[in-house]
Amino acid sequence: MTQAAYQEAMHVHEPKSFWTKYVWSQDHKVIAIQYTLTAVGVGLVALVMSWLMRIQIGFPGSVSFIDPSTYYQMVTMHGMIMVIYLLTAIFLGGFGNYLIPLMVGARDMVFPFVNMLSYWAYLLSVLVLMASFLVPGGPTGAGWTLYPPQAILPGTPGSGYGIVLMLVSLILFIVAATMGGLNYVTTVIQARTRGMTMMRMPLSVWGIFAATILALLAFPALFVGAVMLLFDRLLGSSFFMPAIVSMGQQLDYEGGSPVLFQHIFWFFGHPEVYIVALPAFGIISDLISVHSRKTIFGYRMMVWAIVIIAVLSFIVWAHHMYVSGMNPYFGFFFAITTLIIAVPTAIKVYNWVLTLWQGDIHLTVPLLFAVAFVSTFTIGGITGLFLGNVVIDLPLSDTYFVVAHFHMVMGVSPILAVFGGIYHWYPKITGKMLNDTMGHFHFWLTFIGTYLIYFPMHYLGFIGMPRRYHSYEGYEFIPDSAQDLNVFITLSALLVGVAQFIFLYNLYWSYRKGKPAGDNPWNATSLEWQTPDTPPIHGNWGSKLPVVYRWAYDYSVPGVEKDFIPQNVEHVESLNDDNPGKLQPEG
Amino acid sequence: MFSNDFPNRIYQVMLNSCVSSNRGIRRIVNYVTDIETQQKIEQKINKAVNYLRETTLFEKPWLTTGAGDNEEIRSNEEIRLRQMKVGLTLLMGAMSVLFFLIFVAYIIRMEVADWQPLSEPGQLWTNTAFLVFSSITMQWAVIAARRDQTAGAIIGFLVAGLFAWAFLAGQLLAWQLLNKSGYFVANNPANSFFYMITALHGLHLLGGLGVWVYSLFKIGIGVGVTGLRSSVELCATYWHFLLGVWIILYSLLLLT
Repeated sequence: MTQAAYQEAMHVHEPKSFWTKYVWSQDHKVIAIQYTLTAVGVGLVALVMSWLMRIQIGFPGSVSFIDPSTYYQMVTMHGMIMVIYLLTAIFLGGFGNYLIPLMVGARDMVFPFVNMLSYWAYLLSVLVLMASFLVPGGPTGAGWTLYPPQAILPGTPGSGYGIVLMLVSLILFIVAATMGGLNYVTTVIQARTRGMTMMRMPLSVWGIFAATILALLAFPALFVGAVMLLFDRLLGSSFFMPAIVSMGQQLDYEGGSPVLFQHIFWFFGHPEVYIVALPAFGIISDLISVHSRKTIFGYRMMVWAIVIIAVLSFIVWAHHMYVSGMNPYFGFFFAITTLIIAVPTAIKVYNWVLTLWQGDIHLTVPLLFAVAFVSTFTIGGITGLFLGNVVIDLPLSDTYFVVAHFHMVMGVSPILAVFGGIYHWYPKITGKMLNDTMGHFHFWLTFIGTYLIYFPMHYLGFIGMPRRYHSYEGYEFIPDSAQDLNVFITLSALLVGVAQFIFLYNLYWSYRKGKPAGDNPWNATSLEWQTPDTPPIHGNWGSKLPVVYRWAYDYSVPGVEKDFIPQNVEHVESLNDDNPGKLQPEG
Repeated sequence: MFSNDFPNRIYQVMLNSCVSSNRGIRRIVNYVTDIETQQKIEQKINKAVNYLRETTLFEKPWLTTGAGDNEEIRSNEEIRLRQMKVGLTLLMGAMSVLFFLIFVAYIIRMEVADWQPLSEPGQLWTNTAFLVFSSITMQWAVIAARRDQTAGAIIGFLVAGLFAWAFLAGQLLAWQLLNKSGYFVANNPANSFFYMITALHGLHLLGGLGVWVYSLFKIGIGVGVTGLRSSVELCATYWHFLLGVWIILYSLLLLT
């Protein structure tokens, strides 16, 4: 029995009741939506916190409950939620779950039950995290990097219960991500339909596939760090805690190494950047190719660039620790590896631009988001080259320049890819088109607004404005005009925040009253658009699995009437050549 | 510097060297007198060669059409087993990173002056023996299952699990012994590491025992020999892996 026949023969277990269909569901599409909605919900909490922080900076003291402790707690929770509970969860749990089986032509993930457990463990981790708002002392204010010793010392807000809940929540999240990750990788390796070779997979699948392998290898580092920090906090061991006098009291700790934690944390933390970026790369490649009706430029180069970035991301972690002090030769090594990553990344940017070049560009909302991604990612990437150098990083490290850099490159860029992806695949998920007018409002407000927020921050960084400060009164080196810029940034941030509610309303409104989408509104070639039903039903493919005859990027093939050939089409009426529907090999 | 088909040429070289080494191996295979083993080895070689030949990582997808028709014919159980094996391999990969990082952290933390080596209780030798026996009986169960000796497989599987429980009980006993002689978690980093390492290793073994209980339940409701075989094979792989991890970590504890 072949792989394909095996999947066909699999007893497709159609759930009947409401509970097994929508709540305790093992269907990858339902789990994907559960993941996405949970991530968006918790993301809104982080969005509101960013508003409050900006109001404090722009108009100090205008919100009475924001004292320095509350401010640190919001900085911490905003960062942690956005990076891990929103972006990681939505790319792997949301997009990964929805797209992988549909794009490789499988009926479901290979371990549906484990997949369901993955979501529920994730939900539990979110609930534990949210519970830290309710415990005495509130959530931890240690910063999202949770550096000891301050993370667990009495002076830090939330050092009582908040930090413990934070660490427990992270451990639960890692369990969830591992269970999901096993599924995604195994499905890609083992459950592709007939004809779907690795090199015919859409780049979205490649991006998510590589990112998931990174997650499987990087999250254990955070797990180790979290467990050891919990030991220090709860059992009084001294893995990371040096001998220390805290608030006039000699504590029992002795000999621990805070820098050890930093190494362990960033061994996870840097790959984490690419866990978020690689799926975005893949999604953007597909959006650009589909909406500019052109073959992706340099497909194989794109795949190998993803693989090379994934490998390199494990040997650059200490560039986050230049200010912690290190042997200059180490700094040299990590600066070099960091700068080398720019090469495969630049290849990708060139290839996106060259795909757009002379394309039949349809200025749809997904394409707008994709082009915006290329722009913000390039800006953020270039400031990354600055910060990768030790001598430039040292003075800039604690300033708003770094805030601007990482928000551009791993805040704004991935979230633009998320939006682009949602506008692109929403018609398949719901069968309705998203409203275009609201989409344009959302896009332009978000795109221009984020530039208005983060571009001025580069200047604030250059004049030395420190980050993570609750208020800036009485620092002589900060000119008064900086405050004007801060007010401007705050107003932009409020506006961009409001724009996201347009998006959420659009999701709701279009689900009720949107224009019917049909099976393939974008005339795309990849398999998820060729399902017999829209939205796809349980089992995805009806009675027979699709067979794949070509790659995912046959757009505007010379000599073919239609400007796209779906992957599951074998023969195309061609006008004049003997290799129908394919480019001629050179020579 | 490099011509356009440079990767393809590298690939050709790889393929050729594989084919020629294949001939060499075949010559060696001829010395194996047992015909069954001979055939098994040949099958494995053929599989490897075909895999390289058909691997598609060098495909130029914009030039090729067609779905290919040389898919391997396999049974449902085999496909499922292969999927499970890939999943298990990934899980063990993630766990390897986890224990590797603890290993590294241990070495780094050891350098600080406040480190006082822990004298491990002799109980750990007994526990190690339990775990080794557990792995051996598990392997025995695999061999029995491959020969379709259901009874032998079930007994081996059962005994292997019991040895694993004995190991866990022994570890708890070791903790108690240490506690009684005043070696608490927070006394010294060596103690803290000892407790953490044994706890994490034990929890992972406990997860394996969860699968063991579930498999016993499946055997209890009467699952076929092939279904049993896949459970036993997967458990055996995981058991050997955890034994390997334990031996490495225990040597680390003993040597420092």
